[in-house]
Amino acid sequence: MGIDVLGEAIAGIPLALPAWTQLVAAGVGAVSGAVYAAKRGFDVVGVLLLAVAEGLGGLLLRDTLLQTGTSIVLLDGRYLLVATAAAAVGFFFAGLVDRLEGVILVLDALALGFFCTVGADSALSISLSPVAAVFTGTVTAVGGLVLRDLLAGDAPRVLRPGVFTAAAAFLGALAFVMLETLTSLPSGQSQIIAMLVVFAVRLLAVRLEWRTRAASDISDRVWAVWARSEDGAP
Amino acid sequence: MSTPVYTVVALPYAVEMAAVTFGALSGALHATRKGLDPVGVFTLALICAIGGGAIRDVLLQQGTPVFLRSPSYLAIAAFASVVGLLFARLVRSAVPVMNVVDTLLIGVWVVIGAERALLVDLSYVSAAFLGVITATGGGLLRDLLCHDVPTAVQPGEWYVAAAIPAAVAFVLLVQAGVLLEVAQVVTIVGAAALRAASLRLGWRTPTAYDVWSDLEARFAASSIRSSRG
Repeated sequence: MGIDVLGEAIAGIPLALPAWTQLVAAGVGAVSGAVYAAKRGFDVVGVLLLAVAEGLGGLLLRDTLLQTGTSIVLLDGRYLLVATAAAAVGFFFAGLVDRLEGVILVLDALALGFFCTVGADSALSISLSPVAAVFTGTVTAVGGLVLRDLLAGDAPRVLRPGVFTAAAAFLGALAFVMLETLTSLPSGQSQIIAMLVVFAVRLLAVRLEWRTRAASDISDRVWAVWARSEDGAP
Repeated sequence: MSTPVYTVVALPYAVEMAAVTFGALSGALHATRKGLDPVGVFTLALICAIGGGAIRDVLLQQGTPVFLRSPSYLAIAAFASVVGLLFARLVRSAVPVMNVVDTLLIGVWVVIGAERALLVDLSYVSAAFLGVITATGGGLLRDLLCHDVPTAVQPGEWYVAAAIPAAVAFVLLVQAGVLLEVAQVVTIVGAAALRAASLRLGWRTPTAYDVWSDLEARFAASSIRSSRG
């Protein structure tokens, strides 16, 4: 009973979508974590662990950062059950899930958008600054991916040049927070718009192969421009 | 928070301290094997001793993690790292004994972790999860700090695979209202028996079985056969 009240406060789901969407979104992430582990040849524990990490990691990180009490993931036992079911799917049907590449892409993009708005909303709901809310939203959306890669012994993919993922989540969180703080739109509508932003960015990025770039140093160019203006001065 | 629906009979403090000591020693041993420096030895000793519990406490958010509230945890890790650094050979010769103790400790950590979760009224599923995390989080963090692919995710000996059924059994027994001491003993013995059996019988943790591709391959094979027929 007490759990329900707490859960509602922390979950930050009084947005447009019904409460169970968060479970489904966590399940989507968990399936892709499980499939990733299965394809890497990890054992049953690895499949379970990576399912939990990718599906629930974002929410766990958010709740740990916000310090609003025991995470929703632990208060509501269904999250772990969903992750376990997802692990079973990954364990037995990795090949089938692989076939459904297009469906997975769409679901992942929706889940990414969902989590960045939910994360940003829960930061705003405890009166954090808009900047912190954008950060929290992004972490909630991609934290699971980072945890998955760490536990698999890889360098986190989202930090390396590649197809927009964290960038899409960041833009979505930014869009949501701007709509929430600058306009009087109901949160539900802001959420839908921000999710559409993430969805569009993510799908266009995959289709058009937009890739994030590695850091490039511009100090030489700045120096050259400055030196030229020095020369021209006298 | 509402009042707990049951009271938890915690394992004796001495048991937990013994578990911490063994965790720290095995961490120090791992570090000396890896050729780490004293900082590394202390870090791994500490991580193996309290890592799982630290993750659990951070997730539970019921105040400062236990290992910081009492000085014994850090002191034990420091002691173990000194022993591990100066008497590595002695510790190594005790490896067979340590393996036995380690096997017995899986269930102890599961019980400690699950009980902390039940004490704050979490669901049984979450209690089982935190029991497993408490038992295995230290090893996971150790591997991550050594920049190894965690042994937990790789096919091999049953360790986490023994902790998971033990944790599930513990919460099921508690839910069924079995005397708590009985549940504790069953969990500890069960986890140890599972691991011992897996070692003795050479079980390896199973990897994913791809039903779909398997069916497809069978279908392809049968259709080739029928087209020939």
